[in-house]
Amino acid sequence: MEPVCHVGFSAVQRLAELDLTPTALHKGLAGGSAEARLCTEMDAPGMAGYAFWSRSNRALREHLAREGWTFSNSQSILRCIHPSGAFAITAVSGSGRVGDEDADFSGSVRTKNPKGPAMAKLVQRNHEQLPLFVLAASREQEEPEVNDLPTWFLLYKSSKDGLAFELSLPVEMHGKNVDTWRERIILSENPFIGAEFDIKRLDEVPNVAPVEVPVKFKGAL
Amino acid sequence: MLTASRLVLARKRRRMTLSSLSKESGVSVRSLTAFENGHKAPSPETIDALSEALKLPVDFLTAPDLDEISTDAVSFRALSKMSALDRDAARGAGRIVVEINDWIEERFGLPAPDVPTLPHLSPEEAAERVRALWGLGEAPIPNMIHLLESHGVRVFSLASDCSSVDAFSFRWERTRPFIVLNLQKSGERGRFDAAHELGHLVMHSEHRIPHGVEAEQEAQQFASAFLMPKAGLLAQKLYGADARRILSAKVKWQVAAVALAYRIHDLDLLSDWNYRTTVKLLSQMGYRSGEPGGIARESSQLLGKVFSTLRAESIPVSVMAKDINLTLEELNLHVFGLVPTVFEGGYRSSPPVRPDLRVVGP
Repeated sequence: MEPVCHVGFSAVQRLAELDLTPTALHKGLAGGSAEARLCTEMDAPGMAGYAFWSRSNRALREHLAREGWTFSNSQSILRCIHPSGAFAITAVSGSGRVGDEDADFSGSVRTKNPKGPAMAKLVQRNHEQLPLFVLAASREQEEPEVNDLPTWFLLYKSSKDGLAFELSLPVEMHGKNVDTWRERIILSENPFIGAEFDIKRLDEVPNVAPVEVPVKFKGAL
Repeated sequence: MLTASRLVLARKRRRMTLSSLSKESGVSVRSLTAFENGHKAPSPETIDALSEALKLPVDFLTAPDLDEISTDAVSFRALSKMSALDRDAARGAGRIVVEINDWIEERFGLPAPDVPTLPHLSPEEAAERVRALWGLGEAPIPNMIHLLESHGVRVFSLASDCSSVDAFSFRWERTRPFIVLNLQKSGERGRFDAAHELGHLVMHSEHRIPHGVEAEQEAQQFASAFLMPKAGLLAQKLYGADARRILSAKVKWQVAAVALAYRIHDLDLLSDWNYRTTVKLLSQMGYRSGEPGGIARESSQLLGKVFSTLRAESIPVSVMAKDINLTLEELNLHVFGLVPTVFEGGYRSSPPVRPDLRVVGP
């Protein structure tokens, strides 16, 4: 199957097929971002990144729990599991061209930190699974083991421009990094644009990180 | 026909007693009392005289009833030093900004109120909680007014004829937060005042509306903790900072040097002796009365966008003034310093700088 990148309306549609909304992804990332910004130079190096990873997964789980999603921390992979048990999502830091729809499906977008054998196995399973998970069919099956579930990555990457993100289905690793994707979902709406969302620059004086006050004219008087 | 509540509001807004209004308008105190009680209706000529004396259009005095902002609902700075006339004048100004805001809200989609009420927390805890709820982390706040506006607080300018009041805040109808700021001060002081008023809105609400010295101290502590979060200062290694170090460090937080010295002393990062020496030195350098080389005053993004859209849509500001039954001059008093001053047929700049006027399209 040819890899596919969903953008704009198609991205929202594909999310809906996975029973997800842009808000769910935004909530997860906003939770991680707010937590990371609590870190200062007096925290352990890497604390901001760790806090982001943990709290973005937690915020995502808390938001989706109301809709019946469950979770698992098996093998230290923080997964949020669809109510049908058909697939899972994990938020994980990315590097390279995260959020860039023109990036290649292999090599351009990578997980940031080295991954171990558990992740390798998971990605291998994704590769072997059918590209689409038919939710209704899987409901009839026995509940699969959590480490056998196809797992989507909510990749995020902070830079001086803000936070880029995408929800992608990994299918291959090269070396210690997951870097090949069968499907990428990139939302046009990104509320995390701005220097204040770059967690690496916490202790500098922000250049200009303006808060946007939305003001919308309702029409002629 | 004269509306009694509006006559009372106008008189208070103008900081007038019955006797001073009588003197100004030539209408007897006895008649004025009867008009204000609704026991007697004035002739059109008398309404004209009152309108002239109060420098408000006749339409303002004859429009439908207006509810007053209750004294309890308002947090005033230095309440003990204020006369009833000062307080009433400010409350009157507050009521007028509610009218201006209502006009804007009818025509513009604006951020909904999102200011928590935390009457049970200490100032330090409340400041930390608001930072967490608003996702601010431990980082500096680039612009207090924009931050407040993005969380649904409506910020207006304190009319220059109420300057003895400094600043005040209230929740209109118990839910809609307003802050009215004195914009004649330094940029740093303005930011601190805005954070101080946020402290009142957050802590002095619901069942707990204290006034006086205690409430003021709490709001000061809130502002200090909100603008200069403890963890951020600790990370900045400000132990035993001298005046020179404070002048360098304050740039990050955009606060007054003396306010930063106070905060690090409060956090036990500066000994009593060092604090006194530092503040004395800062005072000699002019940092007590002002803020040499300080930041520009903050302005309103929300009002900037509103007035800019009106101009783009060729809607004269006089339409707004007329709808709210105000003179353009009175309208200007409440937005002065936050947006370019509004004049019929055009705009003139008022200090300090024009805000970034980007319009979100309809």
